[in-house]
Amino acid sequence: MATHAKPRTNRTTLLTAAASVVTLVVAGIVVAVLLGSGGSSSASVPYRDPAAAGALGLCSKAGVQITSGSTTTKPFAWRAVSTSAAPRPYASGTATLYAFQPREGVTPDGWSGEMITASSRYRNDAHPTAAATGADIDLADFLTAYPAQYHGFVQLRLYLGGPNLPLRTTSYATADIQVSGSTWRQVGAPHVDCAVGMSAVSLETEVQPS
Amino acid sequence: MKTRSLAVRAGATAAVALGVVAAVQLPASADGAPSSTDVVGVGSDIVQNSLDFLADGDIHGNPGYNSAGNKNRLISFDATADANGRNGFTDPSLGTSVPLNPTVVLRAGTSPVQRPNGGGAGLTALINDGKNGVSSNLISFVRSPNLPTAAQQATAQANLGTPLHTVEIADDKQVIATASTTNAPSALSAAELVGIYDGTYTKWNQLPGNSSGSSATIVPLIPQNGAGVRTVFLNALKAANNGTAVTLATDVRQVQQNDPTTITGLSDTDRPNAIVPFPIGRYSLLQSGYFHDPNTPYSASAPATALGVNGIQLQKTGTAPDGSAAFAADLPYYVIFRESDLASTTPWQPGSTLNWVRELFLNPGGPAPFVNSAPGKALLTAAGVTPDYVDKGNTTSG
Repeated sequence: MATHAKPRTNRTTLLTAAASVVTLVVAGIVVAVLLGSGGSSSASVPYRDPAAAGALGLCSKAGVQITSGSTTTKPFAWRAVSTSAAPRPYASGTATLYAFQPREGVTPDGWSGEMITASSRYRNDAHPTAAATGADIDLADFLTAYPAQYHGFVQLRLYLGGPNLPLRTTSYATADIQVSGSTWRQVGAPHVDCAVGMSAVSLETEVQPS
Repeated sequence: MKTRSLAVRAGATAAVALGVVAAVQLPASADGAPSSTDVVGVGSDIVQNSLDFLADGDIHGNPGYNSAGNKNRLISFDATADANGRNGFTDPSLGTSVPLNPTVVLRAGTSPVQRPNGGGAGLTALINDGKNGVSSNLISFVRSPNLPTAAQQATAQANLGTPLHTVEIADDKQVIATASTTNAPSALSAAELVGIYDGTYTKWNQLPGNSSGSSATIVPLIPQNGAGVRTVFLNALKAANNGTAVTLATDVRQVQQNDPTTITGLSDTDRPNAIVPFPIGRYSLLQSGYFHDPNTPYSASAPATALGVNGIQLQKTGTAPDGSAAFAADLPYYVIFRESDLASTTPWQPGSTLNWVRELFLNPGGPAPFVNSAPGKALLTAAGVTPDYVDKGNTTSG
């Protein structure tokens, strides 16, 4: 009996362990999908966007990189410079900066958001850039409509487009902004040379020069 | 037994978990018709391109509101079933061709209904989108160059249980268009147009101060019934006629609004003598290359040529033979909706604090709605009009 019991116990233990491993792996997948990710790109950013490709650096009007500021500064940032090059159809195209509201348990393609600049024409294809004007909104305006819910985060995305081209929304450079009170800080900001994006021109200037 | 039980349990756990994954990743089903939570507009032809741009962007790379990919969309149905703004007609091979009365599916799961063609038709449709004070909410807003009348406000209150509210989003001007080669003087005044459209003047040399002009017969054209730009024009004539509505002469021809071919398609005899009220915004949009030759099949390698304004010209400035300024009527672009939607406390997009009116069109005391944001104004400018954001309340046109 003992000779039969021991192997049975071993089989049971192995199967239990296997079942636990399967359950843990699948549960991990579920959690990752619910977070919209297969992991986290930064220890302090509670989500990962699988469509994110490249990072955004933010710049002041003077062309200096900024990583924090006031939510009531208008515009929120004067330039958003991508670290990833524009793919071929979008060479010398347009770039538009969007803000999205991460929501826990919702994948990034289900987050709500809006444009926070109009389109800009960029000339440096290695660093597509959105340029803002004084007519663009501050972060507080966006937060009034879409309050930061998920650990205070707002995700910025740079969508590329161009004349008679569909907007590229399947892959984009991002920035993760964490809001606390009336201030914001960029988490995991890349280093960018703001000078590389200075040739970008906002199409808004045709409406309301800053 | 236990082995099987454990295997089954493990498999079931995985299956349930994977099922959750599948459910989470399930894409929304594609459907051309708006959902019950989309915002749906109908109405004016002349305002339609501005709303099209606001919703879906222009050809210069300015994205529209829907580009954010939010759950709920802005859908603005054109007045015409044709994206180039032409009316539809029945098949001439089946007999005399007549206007088609195209239809539209306002919401997924509903039958096609007659497509409102023009601001007036749109307003009529909106105030009939409900009965006994209960809205059906198939139509969210109307594009129109005219405010609702007092009678329409009263009907809206009775049918929908709320008055209508208007926001002006842009300005345009309506002027007179002629053929590039024309017998018309370089400018026509409002008073002269009254005389032309009521039949007092039928030849160019009958116009006061133009006795040396052409003796050819004038061909006065006017946009079709139900078109808001027709109402704008008739109201301008009425104002120039000391407040008395002008009775149109029998030789005034009804034509498709805002279409250069209403002049360029005329006979060699009629073309140089034709006049029609025409919006500057539409003229600018044509010049921008937005519209393409509809007679050329789509081809990425051999795209259709852009339609232009060849063959017509506008009388924007100048002095008429009677010494008055060239005719120009204000052409405001209005968006009209239920006032109850402005007051609604139901947020529109998931996670938002704003209802759809405040998100898109009018947000008193709050952040600029999309139409008055910098990206929104860039789109209106690309549509050939001047952005102008004015809350008109529930005022009427009389």
